[in-house]
Amino acid sequence: MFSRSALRSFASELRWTAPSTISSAPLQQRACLHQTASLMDSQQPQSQSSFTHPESPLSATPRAQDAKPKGIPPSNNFNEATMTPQTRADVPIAKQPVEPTFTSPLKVTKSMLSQLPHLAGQKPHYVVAQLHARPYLLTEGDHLRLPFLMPKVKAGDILRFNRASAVGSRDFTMKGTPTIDERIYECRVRVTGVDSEPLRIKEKTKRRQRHVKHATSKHRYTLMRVMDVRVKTPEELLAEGAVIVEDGEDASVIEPRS
Amino acid sequence: MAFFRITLLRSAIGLPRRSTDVLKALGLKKRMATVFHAVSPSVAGQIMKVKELVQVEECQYRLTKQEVHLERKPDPGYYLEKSSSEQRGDTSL
Repeated sequence: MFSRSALRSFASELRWTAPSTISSAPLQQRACLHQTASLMDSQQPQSQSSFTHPESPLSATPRAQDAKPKGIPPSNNFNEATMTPQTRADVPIAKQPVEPTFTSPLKVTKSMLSQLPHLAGQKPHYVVAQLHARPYLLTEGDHLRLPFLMPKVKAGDILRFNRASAVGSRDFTMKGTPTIDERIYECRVRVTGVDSEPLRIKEKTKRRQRHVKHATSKHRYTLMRVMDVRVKTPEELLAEGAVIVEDGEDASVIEPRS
Repeated sequence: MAFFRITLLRSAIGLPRRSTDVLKALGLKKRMATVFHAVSPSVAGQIMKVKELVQVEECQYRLTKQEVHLERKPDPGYYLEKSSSEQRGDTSL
């Protein structure tokens, strides 16, 4: 027992003493190296402070400050000149159901103007109207039940559908790229009321519980009636100030039925 | 000042932990999420690590979340020409 403890203590002494004696030189070296390194670090910025070091923070801070004023200009694309759309409530006027105002006159190609009387003269017309990018094939006199409740409309209101991918008659079709200019045709719709589906009850159950929850839903849908679908004649278009241009590639074309 | 517009197209499920962590560092949490980062070598390196998963464009401005949403929002396709209260005034219709 005694011998072991004595040995241990001796060994521990050795351990304590030996590393210190052995590694004292490298430790000092390391310390020296570290000092020199830190000295180098501290000296370099002092010597080159005017050239390299302040560049990054100084150039970084104005960027962070300038970011906000520079971020505002794209809001001009969204018709809200002063502010960028931040929340779901900020919808630019172009994406709201508001009567459009036109800045440039309607441009009609020569080939379309020559073919337009064929289409305009042949009643009845149909229109593929796009409501929220979903197509509805409509003719005059159709009853339409939208698969949603249209907000802020009442029975008796007259709506205009102004996005159409195609307008046509029995023998001719005008196809848009992707939509036809809304000044070429008229599609008027009268809101007739609100439809309501029967109350749906869904039983909601959880495991190992007797309680049954009943979730109810009763959706409402807007009813409409198509008042008129009409394609304007070339005379009407020219009277409204349409401009005749040469045939381009991305203009809507009237195709006869194949 | 240019920005990277990074969209996560493919999920990192089943990939090494490293790529998941890079996506987390970029701020991409789910597919089709879009983030904007200023163009810098470090961000470019992060994109290189997950280049098989993301779509990268360069743009001039950092768009808000709503602006990114509005790019996909379609036109309503209708407008109110005449409300029922207006029609009561004139008896011609």
